[in-house]
Formats: sequence, structure tokens, C-alpha cells
Amino acid sequence: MTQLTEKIIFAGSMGSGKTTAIKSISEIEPVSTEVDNNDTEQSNKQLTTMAMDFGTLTLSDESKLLLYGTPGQERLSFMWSVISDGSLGVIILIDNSISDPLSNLDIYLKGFSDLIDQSKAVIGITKSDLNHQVDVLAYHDYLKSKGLSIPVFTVDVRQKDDVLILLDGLISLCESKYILGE
Amino acid sequence: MDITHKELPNSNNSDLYLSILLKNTPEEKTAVLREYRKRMDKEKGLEHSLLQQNNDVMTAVQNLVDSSNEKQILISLEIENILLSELESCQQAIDKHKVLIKSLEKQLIQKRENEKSVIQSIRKFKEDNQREMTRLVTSHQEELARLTASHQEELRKITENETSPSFEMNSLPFESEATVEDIIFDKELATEPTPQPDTEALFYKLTTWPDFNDLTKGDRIIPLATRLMAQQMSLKQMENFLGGPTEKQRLLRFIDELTSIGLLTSTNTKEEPQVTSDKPEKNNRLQLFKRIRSSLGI
Repeated sequence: MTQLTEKIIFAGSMGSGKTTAIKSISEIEPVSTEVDNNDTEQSNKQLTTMAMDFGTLTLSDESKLLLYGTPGQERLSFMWSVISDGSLGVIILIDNSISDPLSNLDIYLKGFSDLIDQSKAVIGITKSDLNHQVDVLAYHDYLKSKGLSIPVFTVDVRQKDDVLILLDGLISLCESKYILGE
Repeated sequence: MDITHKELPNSNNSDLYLSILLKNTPEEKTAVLREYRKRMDKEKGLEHSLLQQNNDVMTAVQNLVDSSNEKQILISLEIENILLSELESCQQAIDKHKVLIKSLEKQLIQKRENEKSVIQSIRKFKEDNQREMTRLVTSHQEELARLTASHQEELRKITENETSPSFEMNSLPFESEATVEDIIFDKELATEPTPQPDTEALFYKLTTWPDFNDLTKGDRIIPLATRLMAQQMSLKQMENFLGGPTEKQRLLRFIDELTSIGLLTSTNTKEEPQVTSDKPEKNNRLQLFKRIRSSLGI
């Protein structure tokens, strides 16, 4: 049997939980390129991903599902297209506790527009308990104003079940596309 | 009073004789006796000497008895003083303990009073609580009855106008903690689900992505919503998608939730079926997604 590899991308702002999400489902200890965070304006966490995070999941036919986490800093956005090329889809994580999460979302809507145009993207809102000003409805309204239709989930990426919900959403989109022959 | 090392004052020699009696060793006694005899030899005449000796013996013994009595009296007094002192300290200790016992008794009485007060407060709180609970339950039942009537009327209108699935509140279990879970679709009440013919004929589609956190959780709900975003589906198709007739209750709840927030539209008109892909890789990709789901346990 042909050993295929597929990849899924985890994108999002610094501190949104990409590394944590990959850790929660990867069967290997994720390869992480975390360094000391010097960009405290964006996030006050101590470490941040510089190049990417990487985890894997072996499927029943021994093929591999590769999990990539992109660096969150906008100045490293040139890597996003490199990493996401040929992927099944992207899970965009947005840290809802930051001052303007919707503007932050906009960066990733542009950065992953290719996948979004192909309906291969879902959005996960993290740390939603820290900001009740912007709720799921606000995200939907914002996406609608941009002419986009993307499923949005409120998640705690420390919980594996929540990360699985995001993957369920993304795979459902992919299935739907292939079944309907798009 | 020590009389062994002290000469008794006496005008005759009785004190000397007494000191003979009081000496400890034979040698000392002999020495003193020699002295006594030397003195006696100086006296005139044997008869007088013997008489004098008898007097001395009598006087010495008398002195000894007197001093012994005196000593006994002193010792008795001393013992009496000691006993009185002990008695006094015992009495003081007893008094002290009596005071302590009285204090403890007072504390115990106060504690019992406090306990009584607390028990009374708890009883009162329980009674008040019970009254409040009764009032709330009554109020709750009245509100539920009102909402049930209102809801049934609204649903009847919707069913008549838009042929949506109808359901009603089961009003019987209100007395035993009625909750939202008591909402039972009228289709469930029958042994076999018998959907309305017009409901069966409807085609549903999602207009906007819902907030999944507010929806019924469970297997295949997210894929179903995804499919509904992409194409129309009938009730039967959705039922099969979720896994068959056993999922009907979950499906109806899902439809009701989406309809109530206006995200699910229904129509009698079936849209043109979308062109399905004939690409050879289609099956491979679908198998891949199944494997991913299987590996992730979703």
C-alpha cells in the first residue's frame, strides 16, 4: 500500500495555543522550535515558536498525518504559505484575550486566503473566558462582513476533546468537498 | 534541746552525774565517773557521801525527765504546726478546685445554652427555607405551565403555517423537578416514530455556521452541519447520515435548536443536485478521511 502523508496546519497569533494543540494529539513528542519571546508587545508568554512546531499521527494504513504549527509572529508570515502548501486544511486559533482579536483574525484570513477560498479552514477561539466582549456571534458577523463562511468553535486547546472538535470540523469540510465533487 | 554535751547547772554534783548517764561510750562514762568520785572523796564521811550521791542521782534523773518532757512538748508543738500548715494548704487547694469547678459548671451551662440557641436557629432556618422552597416550586410550576401553554400555542401556529416538526411539553412531571429535559417531542411519545408527512417532504439547509457550543453535542453533528451548509438534506437523509432511526430524537433536537435561532431553512422545493466528482482519487480521499477519523477517535 502506498504510504501517503497528509498535513494539517495550525495557525494563529502568538499565545493562541498552537503548540499546545499539537502536543495534545501528536503521538510523538512534538518537535518544537521555541525560543525566548522578545516580542512582548504581541504576547507576554516566555517562549514562542520561531520556525514551526511539528507532530505526527500514524493512521491505520501506516500512512502519516503531519501536524504543523506555524510561527505566530506576522513578521514570519512568509513561512505560512511554504508550510501550508499541499495541506488538507488550516485550523486558525485566535487568542480572544488580546485587545483586538478580530483585527488579529484578519491577518490570518489574508495569510491563508488560498485554503480559506477552498473551504479548508476552521477557526478556534481560545481563552474566550478572558474576554466576554467578543463572542462567537461577533466572529460570525465579522466573517460575514468579509463575505466569508467559516465554522467557528470556542475551544480550550489544553483539552484534547476540544482539539478533536476542530479536527472534526476541518475533516468534515474536506469530506463534504470531495463528496460533492468540488 | 541537746542535753548530752552540756553540763546542767546545779549547786550539787547532780549535773556531773547526769553527764555520766548521758555519755555515749564506756570510756567517757568512766572518765566522768572518776571525776565525780574525786569530788565525792573531798566530802566528809561515807554516809554523807552516799546520801549526797543519792540526791545527785535523783536530781539528775528528775532533770532528765523534765528536759525529756519539755522536748516532747516542743516536738508535739512542732508536729502540730506542721499538720496545721499542711491542713491549711490542703484547704487552700480545695477552695481553689471548688472555684475552678464552679467556673467549669458555668461554662458548661453557657455552652448548653449556646447549643440550644444554635439548634433553634437551624430549625428556624430550615422552616424558612422550606417555606421559600415551597413558594419557589409553586411559582416555578405556574411559570412552566404558562410557558407550556404559550409554547404549545406557538408551535401549533408554526406547524400550521410552516409545517415544522411539532412538539409539546409534558406537563405531568412538573411536580418532580421539571426541567428542560422534560420537553418531549410528540413523535417520541409513540412507540414507533411517525414523522408528519409534510415534514418528511421538507428539505433543510443551513444558511450560516451555527455556534456549535450551544448545540446538541454528539457524534456526527459537526459533519452533518457541514453537509447542511453545502447542500439540502431531507429528514430521512439526515437521519441516515447520523446513523439511522435510533438517532431520530437527537436529530429532531438538533433541527429544533437550529430552527429556533433561524439558521436552518426548510423548503418543499428540492434544489438541483450538485454535480458529483468522477475523479478516480475521490474514493481514496474519502478513505483517507475515514482513517484520520478512526485514528483520532472521532
